[in-house]
Amino acid sequence: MLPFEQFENGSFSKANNMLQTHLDSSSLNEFKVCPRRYLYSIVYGFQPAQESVHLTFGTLLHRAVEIYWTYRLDRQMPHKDALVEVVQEIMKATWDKERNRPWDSDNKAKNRFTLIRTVVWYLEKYQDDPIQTVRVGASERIAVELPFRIGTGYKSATTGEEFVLCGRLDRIGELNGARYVTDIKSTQHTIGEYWFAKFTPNNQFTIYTIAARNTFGVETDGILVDACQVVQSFSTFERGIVQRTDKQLEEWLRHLGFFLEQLESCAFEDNWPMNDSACGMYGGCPFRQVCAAPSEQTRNLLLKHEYKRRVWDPTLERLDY
Amino acid sequence: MPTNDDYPIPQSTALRQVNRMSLQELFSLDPETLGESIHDIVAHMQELRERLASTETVRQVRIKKDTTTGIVPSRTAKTVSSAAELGFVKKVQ
Repeated sequence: MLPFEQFENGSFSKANNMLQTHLDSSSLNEFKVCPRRYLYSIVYGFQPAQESVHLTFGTLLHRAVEIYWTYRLDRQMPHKDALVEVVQEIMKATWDKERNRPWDSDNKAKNRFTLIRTVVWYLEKYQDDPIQTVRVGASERIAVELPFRIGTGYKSATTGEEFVLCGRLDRIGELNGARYVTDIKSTQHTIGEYWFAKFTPNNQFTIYTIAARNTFGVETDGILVDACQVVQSFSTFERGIVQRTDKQLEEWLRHLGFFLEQLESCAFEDNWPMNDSACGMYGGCPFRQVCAAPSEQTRNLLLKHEYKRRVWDPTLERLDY
Repeated sequence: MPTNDDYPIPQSTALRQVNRMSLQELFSLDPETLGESIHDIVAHMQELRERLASTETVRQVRIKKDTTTGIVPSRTAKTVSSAAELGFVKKVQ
């Protein structure tokens, strides 16, 4: 019996509403980090009342780049006009209409000003990007913001449904005859070889590599990461390539079976263990205070009053290519 | 007696520059009311970038100091492979 009403979520099994059968990299990552964290954030959909500044910043940066390339490629808009449109959109997106004031991140490096500065500087730098966005599918769709779904071949032992990986690729581009999935990341750290090394191994980029090949039939030479270092006084950019060998992909898919089995076991038994070695990771788990509470009743009260809810449903993407 | 040559009429861009609001002012306004001033935000940011570019050497020195503590900056890595010539950091396998 769920202590909270569960919202309609198309990524969960109809036969067992605790079992997610369509997983994106965020869902899978949450489960790999800690089953209890996954229960709170994905199954129940709780998130801290105050969204992480890094998440907000990253999401808006992605959105800015997406809007820019849509204007440039779909509407054939010149750089200057597209840039102004993007700045306008992001200025609006960072305005709190209810309070009639700008978004206040309370972070010196990642805030409204540094976001707009990063967007302008990034787009100025890459306005004549040597990477040419490719077209995919029968509709020759421009390969920007591409939703995907891939059958994993693993089936639920209890419901018989296949587990599916889903998500969205930022862009597929071509450079000197090689194709790449592109992505953009922001960091406050200095960008160097070691910074790009942290993406191998990495759940998200492995899924992206598999998606490019399996969904769009594009053999990629890797993930091309645009890294944006954002600090209080400047933003700077570097590009790096993250690659996977076939053996690495095969190994990852083999290990995926292990995690899906664990996921199914947790859902079937409604038993979500805490990984107490992960509480301090990524700047500290947002649910630490919940797990630290002495009773189930206190935990539920904390969740109810200190967190807000949303539906994390990666199947909501339209597959219109 | 001063002439018009002594006091040239400002060009529209120059006028715009003079009348331009500060970034602080622009950022405090509801974006729905910004209108053409949105161009000023872009211009301010571009100027900031140019100003930073003129002091690039100073910043590079600062990053080089970081390398002595073991942090490898991408600028060094850029020269490592042919991909680096395209502006990439060395490939990570």
